[in-house]
Amino acid sequence: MIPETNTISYSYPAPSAFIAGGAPRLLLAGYSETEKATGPAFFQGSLEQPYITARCLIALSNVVRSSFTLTPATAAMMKDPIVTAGAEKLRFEGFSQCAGVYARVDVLPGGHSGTFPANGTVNVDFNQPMINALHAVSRNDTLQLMVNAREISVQSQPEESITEKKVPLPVKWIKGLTTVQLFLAASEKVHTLNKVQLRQLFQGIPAGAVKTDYYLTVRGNRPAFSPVKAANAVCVGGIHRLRLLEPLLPLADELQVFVHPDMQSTTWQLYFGNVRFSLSLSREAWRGFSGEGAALDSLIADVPDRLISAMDKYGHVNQEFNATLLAVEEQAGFEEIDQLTTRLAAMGLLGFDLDDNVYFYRRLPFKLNRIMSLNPRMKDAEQLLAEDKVVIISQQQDKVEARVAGSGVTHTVMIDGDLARCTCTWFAKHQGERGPCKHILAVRKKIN
Amino acid sequence: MTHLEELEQLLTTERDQDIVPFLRRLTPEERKALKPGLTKLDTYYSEFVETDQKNWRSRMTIPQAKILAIATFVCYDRNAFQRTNFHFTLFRDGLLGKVISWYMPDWFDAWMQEMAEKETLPGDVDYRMMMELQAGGLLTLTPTLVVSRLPMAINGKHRLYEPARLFESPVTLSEHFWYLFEYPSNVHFSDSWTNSKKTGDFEPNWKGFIQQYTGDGTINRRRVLEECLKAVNRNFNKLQVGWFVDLLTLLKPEKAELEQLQPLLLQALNSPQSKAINTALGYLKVLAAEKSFEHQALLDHLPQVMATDKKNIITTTIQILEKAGKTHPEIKPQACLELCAAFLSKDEDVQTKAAKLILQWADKNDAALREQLSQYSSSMLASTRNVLQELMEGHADTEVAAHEEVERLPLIGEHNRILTEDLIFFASQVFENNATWHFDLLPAMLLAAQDTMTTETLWQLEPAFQRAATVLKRPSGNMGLLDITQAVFFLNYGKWMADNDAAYTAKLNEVKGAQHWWRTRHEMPELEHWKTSRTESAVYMPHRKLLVLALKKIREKDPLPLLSTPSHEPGWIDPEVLVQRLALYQSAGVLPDMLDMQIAIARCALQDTAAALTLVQQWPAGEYQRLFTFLLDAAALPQGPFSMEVAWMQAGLTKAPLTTYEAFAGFSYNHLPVALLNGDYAWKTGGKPYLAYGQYNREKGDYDRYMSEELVMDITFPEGDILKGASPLLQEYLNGVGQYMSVSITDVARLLLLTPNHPDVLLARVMQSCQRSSAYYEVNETGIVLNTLKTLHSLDIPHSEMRYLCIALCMLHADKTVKGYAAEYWSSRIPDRISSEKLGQTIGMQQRVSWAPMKRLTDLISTQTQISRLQNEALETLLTACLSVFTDTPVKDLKKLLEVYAEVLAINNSSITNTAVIQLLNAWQGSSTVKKAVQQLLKRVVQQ
Repeated sequence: MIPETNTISYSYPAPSAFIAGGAPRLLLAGYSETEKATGPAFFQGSLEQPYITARCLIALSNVVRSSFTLTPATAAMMKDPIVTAGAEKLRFEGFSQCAGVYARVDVLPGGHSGTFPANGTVNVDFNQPMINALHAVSRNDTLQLMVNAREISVQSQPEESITEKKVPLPVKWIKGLTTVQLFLAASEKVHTLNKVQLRQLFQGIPAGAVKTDYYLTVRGNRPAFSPVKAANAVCVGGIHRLRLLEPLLPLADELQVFVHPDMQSTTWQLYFGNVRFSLSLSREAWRGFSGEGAALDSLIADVPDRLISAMDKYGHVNQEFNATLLAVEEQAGFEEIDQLTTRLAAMGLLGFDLDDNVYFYRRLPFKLNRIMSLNPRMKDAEQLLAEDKVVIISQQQDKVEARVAGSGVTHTVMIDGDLARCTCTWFAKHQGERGPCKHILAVRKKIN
Repeated sequence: MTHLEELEQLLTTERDQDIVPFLRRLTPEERKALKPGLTKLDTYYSEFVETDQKNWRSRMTIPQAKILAIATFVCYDRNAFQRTNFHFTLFRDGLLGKVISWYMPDWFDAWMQEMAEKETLPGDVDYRMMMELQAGGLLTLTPTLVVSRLPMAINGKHRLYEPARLFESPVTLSEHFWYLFEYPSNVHFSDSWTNSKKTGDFEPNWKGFIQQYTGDGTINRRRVLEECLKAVNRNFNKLQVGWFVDLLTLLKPEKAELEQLQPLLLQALNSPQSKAINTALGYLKVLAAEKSFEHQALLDHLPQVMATDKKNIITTTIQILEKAGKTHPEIKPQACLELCAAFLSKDEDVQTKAAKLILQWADKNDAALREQLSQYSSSMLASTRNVLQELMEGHADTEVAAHEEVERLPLIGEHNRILTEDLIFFASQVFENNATWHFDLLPAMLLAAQDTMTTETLWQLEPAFQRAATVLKRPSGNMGLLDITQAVFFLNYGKWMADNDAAYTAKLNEVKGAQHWWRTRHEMPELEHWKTSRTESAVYMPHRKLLVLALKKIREKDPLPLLSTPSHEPGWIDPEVLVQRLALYQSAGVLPDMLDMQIAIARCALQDTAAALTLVQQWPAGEYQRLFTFLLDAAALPQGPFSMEVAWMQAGLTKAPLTTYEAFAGFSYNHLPVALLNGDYAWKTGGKPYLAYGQYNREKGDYDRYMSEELVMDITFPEGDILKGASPLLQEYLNGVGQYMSVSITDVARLLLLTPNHPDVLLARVMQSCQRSSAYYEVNETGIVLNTLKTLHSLDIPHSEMRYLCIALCMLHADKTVKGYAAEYWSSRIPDRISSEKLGQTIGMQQRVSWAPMKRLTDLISTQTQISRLQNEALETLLTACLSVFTDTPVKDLKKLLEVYAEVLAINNSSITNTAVIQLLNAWQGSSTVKKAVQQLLKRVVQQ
C-alpha cells in the first residue's frame, strides 16, 4: 500500500535567534537575541496547489545545491533556504552556492488555506528526507505545512519524523541578500511570454557552460536567445543557469522577465496560479550577488532616527510598503527613504516583490552592527578616512577633486554630481558598473 | 627513564606490540603531558627522506606508524588528531580494536559522522567494523554512514561475492538495506567492483542478490518494487537512477503488481531522468487499456512527459493515450490540448503522430483547442499544418512576421565617434581591454598632451604606470601580447618623462615600496629592443612599430599626430580627419612614417568621401593630392610619378584589392604573389593525405607511421619573400603569423582592425589555423573564431571570397554560440548585403564531402525557419545553392538535409527549378537511405 500520511518535521535544537538586538532601534524592539521564541506558529495550514508548490520547492533546493563557479565537492555542502511567513504570504528563498543565482517561491493568498497566528522567518535545511517527501507529493495529496520559530514541518504522507540541525546563514548569502533586493527594486518588466513562447525560448539555450553573453530578443511573436548584441535586447550572462527553471516550465502559465536598467541582473518569474517562482541571475556566472556594490552609495549617509521609527509601523513580517507612499506619508525626501530602504535591505531585512513593486519586511538572525563587515568596500573606505588618506583638492558645488592614498600610489577622484571617476584598477575595469570603489566612497563620505 | 624516552625507545626498536601496555600504564594527565614530545616525534618520523638515489618515502616504518597512530589517538584531542595522517592507519590491522576496550575519546562518534558527511571516511572502515562499533555503543549508525559502506558489504575478501555477510545482523536487511533506496550512494558502481563470476542463476552482485531473495520471500518484493520507483524521484544522479530502473526491469513486475504500483508509476513520470520516464511509460502502456487505469493522473503528468524532447517517450505516450482513449473517451479533449506540446519538437515523425491523434479525437468546434493550436502554429512543420488544416481554419496567425530590417548605419557617424576623455582616467582604463581602439588612443593622447604635461599630471598617472608594471610582470589571462606591449611602451614613456623632469624624478625617488615601477626601472625593457618568444611574430610588428614611433615623437618633441589613430569605432578613420592630419605634415614639410601612413589609409572609411575630397582639392598639387584623390575618389586612377610606392600600393589594396593597376607595374611589390596582398587565396575542401600515427613499436622505440587521409578545408598560401624590402607593405606583416599561428584570443580583433576595409589576409590565416578541420573546437580556437566573427559583424563591408568562407565555416562550427552568431550575421544582412546563394554554395562545398557533421547545419537551419517571410526565402536560396554543388554520391545524413529543404520549400510553397538540384535528386533516387526524402522533393520539381 502507498502510505497515506507522512510527517516530516524539521526542528532546531535551539530556536532560531531573531535579530539584531545590537543597536537599540525601535524597529527591532520587539525582538531580541535572548528571546526564546516559543510562541505560536507563524503559519499553520495546508497548501492549495500541493503538487506545484512541492515542485517549486524542489527547484528552489536545486538552486541552493547548484554552483556555477565552485568545484562539485565544495558545492555539495548544502545550505538552507529561508522561509518567511506573514501577511497572508509564504515565501521561501535561497541562493546558489556561488551566490550568483537567487530564487524565491511565493505562495500568495489563495495558494494556501491556513492561519498566520504570528509571523516570522526561519531558515531550514532541505535534506534528503525532505526532498524525498516533496518528490512524493502528487496533485491529489494534501500538503500540510507548519512554520514556527524552531521548525517547519511538512506533512503529506505518514511515518517518520526527522530532526535537522540548524546551520547558520552563510555570510555570502547575507551579503547576497543585501544586494539582490536592490537590483530587483530597480528592475523593470520587459517581456511577458506565454506557455508556448517560454518553451520555445528555452529550447535555444546552448548546451554546457556558456561563456559569452546572450541576448533575449523577440522577433515577430517569437522570443529567442542570440549571441549577437542588439539594441534593447536583454543581456544574460551565464545563460546556462536558466536551466534551473527547466523542470518547472511545462507547469507554468506564464513567464515574466524583469531587467535591471544597467543589465546587472535579470529576473525570470514563472506563474502558477497563486504560486510564483522567481529566479534572479547576476550579471555573469562567476559574479555572485554578494560581491556587487549596489548598496554602497546609499550606505554613505546616516538615516535619521525619525525615519527608523516610522519604519517601525511597517515592522511586521511580509508587511509590504511602497517607498514612494512612505516618503509622502512621512514627509521625507525620496532620497532619505531610498537610503532607509537600502539600509534595511542591506541588512537583509527587506525583500522586494517585483509584481507588486513593493518591499516586504523579513527578519533575519544577525546583528545590525554587522552591516559594515558585510560591505568590505565600505569598511575599507572608513579605514581610508580613519587613516586620513583622503585629501580634498577642490570643492565647488557638486564638483569635487580629491586625492586618495592607495597602496604605493595616489589615486585621483573626481566627482561631478552623480558622476564619479577614479584612477584605480577597480574603477578602470568596471567603470562604476559594479558600484563605486572604496576611494570614491571615502571621498563621498568625507564631503557628506 | 621518562615516559617520552620510553616512547622513543619503543619507536627506535619498532616494538609496536608494547605500545598498548605502555599507554595503559599512564594516567590521563601523563598522556596529555606526552603531547609536545609526541608532536616532535611525529614530525621527525613523518618527514620524507631519500632512501636511495631515486626513491623518497617517509622516515617511519610500518611498526613505527602503528605506534604513532595509537599514541596520537590516545594522547591528542580531536583537532590535533585530525591534523595528523594517522586516521587511515588507525583503522588498519585491528589497531582500533586494541584501544577501544580501555580508551575511547568522547569526540569519536561526531568525528566519524563528519568524515561520512565529507566523504573522507578511510577505506578500511567497512560495514562490519561500523556494526561492531555501534554494538559497543561507540558509534551512532546514521543513514549517511550506512549507505557510505553498505554497498561494498556484499563482498568479502578480495572483493568476492559473499552475501552471507548481509545476514550476520538482522538490522542489515530489515532497516539498513532500505536506506540504499532513500539516500544517495554509490550502489550503482558496486556491480562492477566484484571479482566473482556468475555461476548460478543470479549475478554475484546487489541486483542478483535482490533478485534471489525477493524471489524466496526473504526480502519484501513488493516493497523493493515500490522503492525502486520512488528512488527515481529523489534527486539522485543519472547513474544511480538508472541502476534502480535496471533493478526494477530485472525483477519483471507482473501485471497484477503493476496495477498496484500504478500511482508510483505515474509519479515516476516526474523524474528528471528520461530513462525512468521511459520505463514507467512502458509499464503504464500495459495498464492503459484497463478499466482501472488512472487516466486522470496520466493527464496531470502529461505536460511534463510531453516536455521531454525524446522521441520514444512521446511515441509511447501517444500509444498509451490511444489505448486509454478507447476505454476512457472523456480524456480526449484534455489530451488533445496537452498533445500540442509535441509541436515544439523539430521531429517530423513526432509532430505527425501527435497531429493525427488530435485530428482523430478533436471536437471540430472546440475553441480552446483551436486557440491552443494557433499558439503552436509557428513551430509546426508544414506537414503537420497540412494534417491539421481543418482545425486551423480561420486562424491568420500562421502568417510569419514581416522581416525586421536591421537599421543600416553609415560606416562612421555620431553613433560610433570615439570621444576622448581625461588622460588620467583613460590611461588607467587602457590596460583593462575595454575597447579595441584604446590601444591606439593612448599614444595619440600622450602625443597630444606633450605641451600641457605637468609634473602634477604625471603624478596623477601613477596608478596607470603601476598598473602597466603589473601587466608586464604578471599579465592576467585575458591579456594579449598587445596589452603587454602597451605596458612596455607606457613604462618607457614614464621613464623618459622622469628623466626629463627633475621635480618628477625627485617625487618618484621618495616613493617607498619594492614593487613600485620606478624602483624596478632598471629591469624595464626598452620597447625598441624588447624580445620575447612571441614578439618576433611579424603580425605583431605594426602595432609595436606605431608605439615606437609615438615614443620617438615624444622624445623628439614632435608635435605632429599619428595618422593611424581611429576616429570612429571599432577602427575607422574619418577621411576628413585623416586629410586634416596629413595637412599638418604637409605644412610642416615632414614626411610621415610610411607604416603609420599605410595603416591610416587601410583604416580610412571610404563611404562618404566628398567633404574630404574637397579638402584634398585645396591642397597644393603634388603627390599627396594625387594619392588622396586616388584613394577617396572611387573613379580616380593612380597618376604618377610615385615616390611613396608603399602608400600607393596600400591605397590600391584598400580601394579595390582585386584590381591590378597598370600604373603600379614597376613597383617592387609586384614580385610578391598578389594573393598574399589582397587575400584572394585559393581554397579547397576535401581529403588530404597525411602521415598518421599507428601502434607503438617496441623494437623501433617509436610509433609506426602510415599514410592516411584527413578531411580538411585547405587554403593555399603562395610562397613569397615577404618582409624583405626596405618598406614592407602592411599585408606582408599580416602574413607573418609563422607556421603555427600564435595569436591571443584578445589580440585577434585588434589585429584584424589594422585593415578594417579588407581584413582577408589575416582572416585567411585565422581560418587555416583554427578552422581547417571541423573538429578544431578547443577553447583557444573557438575563442579566436568567435572574436573574428564579432569583429567582422561590427564591420559593414562588402563580402569577399574569404569572408563567405569564414561565415560558411562558422555556420558549421561545433560551438553553438559561434554557429548562432554566424546565422545572425547572415540573417541581419539579408537580402541585399549578403548573397545567400554564394554562402549556400560555400557551405555546400564543405558539406558535399561531409566536412562537418550534417546535423550541425540541419539543426541551425531548423532554428532559422519561420522568423520572417524574407528569411524563409533566403533560406530556400541558401539551401538550393548548397545542394546544387553536391555530387551524385549521397553523403552521410543527406536525408536530414533534404527533409529540412523540403520543409523550407513547403513553408514558402515553392517548387524546385534549379537544374543541378533536379539532376542530383534524380541521381540520388537509387539510394535507399534518401529515397523517400528524394521522392517527396521530386513532387516539387517543375520541369522547364
